[in-house]
Amino acid sequence: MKPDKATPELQASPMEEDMHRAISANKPLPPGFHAHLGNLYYQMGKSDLALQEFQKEKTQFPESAVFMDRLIANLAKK
Amino acid sequence: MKTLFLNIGILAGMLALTGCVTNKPYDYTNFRAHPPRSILVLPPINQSTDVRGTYSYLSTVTRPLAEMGYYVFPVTEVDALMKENGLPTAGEMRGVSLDKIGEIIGADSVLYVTLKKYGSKYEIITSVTTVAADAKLVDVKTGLTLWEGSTIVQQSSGDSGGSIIGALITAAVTQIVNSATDPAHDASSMANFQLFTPKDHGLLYGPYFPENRKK
Repeated sequence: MKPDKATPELQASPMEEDMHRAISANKPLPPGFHAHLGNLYYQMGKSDLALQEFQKEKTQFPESAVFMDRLIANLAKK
Repeated sequence: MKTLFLNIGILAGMLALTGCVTNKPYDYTNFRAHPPRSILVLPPINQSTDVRGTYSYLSTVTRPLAEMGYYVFPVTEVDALMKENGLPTAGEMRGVSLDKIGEIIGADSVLYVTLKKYGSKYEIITSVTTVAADAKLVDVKTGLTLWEGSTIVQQSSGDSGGSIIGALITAAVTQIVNSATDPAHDASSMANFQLFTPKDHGLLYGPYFPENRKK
């Protein structure tokens, strides 16, 4: 399958599995992981979950604060 | 004394001949003066003839940078934001000023990548996959170039089992498989590893790199 043909649902479920594996192994997730999952949730219409993920990204990596605040603001606008 | 000078002469000559391998370490003065914590990777400018190049390559850049200890902005979300703001192509995204990048994304540094070659070519008895790229890391606040590098990866289908007919068939089959699966994508991963990690020429470690793993 071409990447652009994969639905957000199809992309989100392996990421959720990865996230649970990382949490149970007490391992950190890589940069951008929560941000991307958040964006997939947004595309699926789950804005509350998206917000949580954007905030997790910001907490884990303060470097992302400006960008995450922008994505969070966009969330409220749409 | 004469032989000493002669030896030095020979040595210097050898160094000059092997120049591209043993050239002097990269000058990290700017890098050390403005060590970035975060890197924004913009979609590469694609100079190859394969349209898949930009996004295939872009998807392989995050991992090596993150493993070197940097916060790497999520490439998909950055790309989407740029597109929403009227910048549909890699060329237009490259034109965004550092001030704007600082204001909108809050990045410390930007990595500009130019994809020189990307793709597979059928060359009678082999199928050759080439990925070549130039990259430049720029400090957002000062505009200084922190680091520059270039890389090339070439992989050939090679193995033919000896006979020329076998070679032709192998190459043709490899070419067909290649067009379906895009081996240049895998070659891109290797190209990035080569680009960022060589000692004295790669990137310095970022803030998230574990102390105990530093060489």
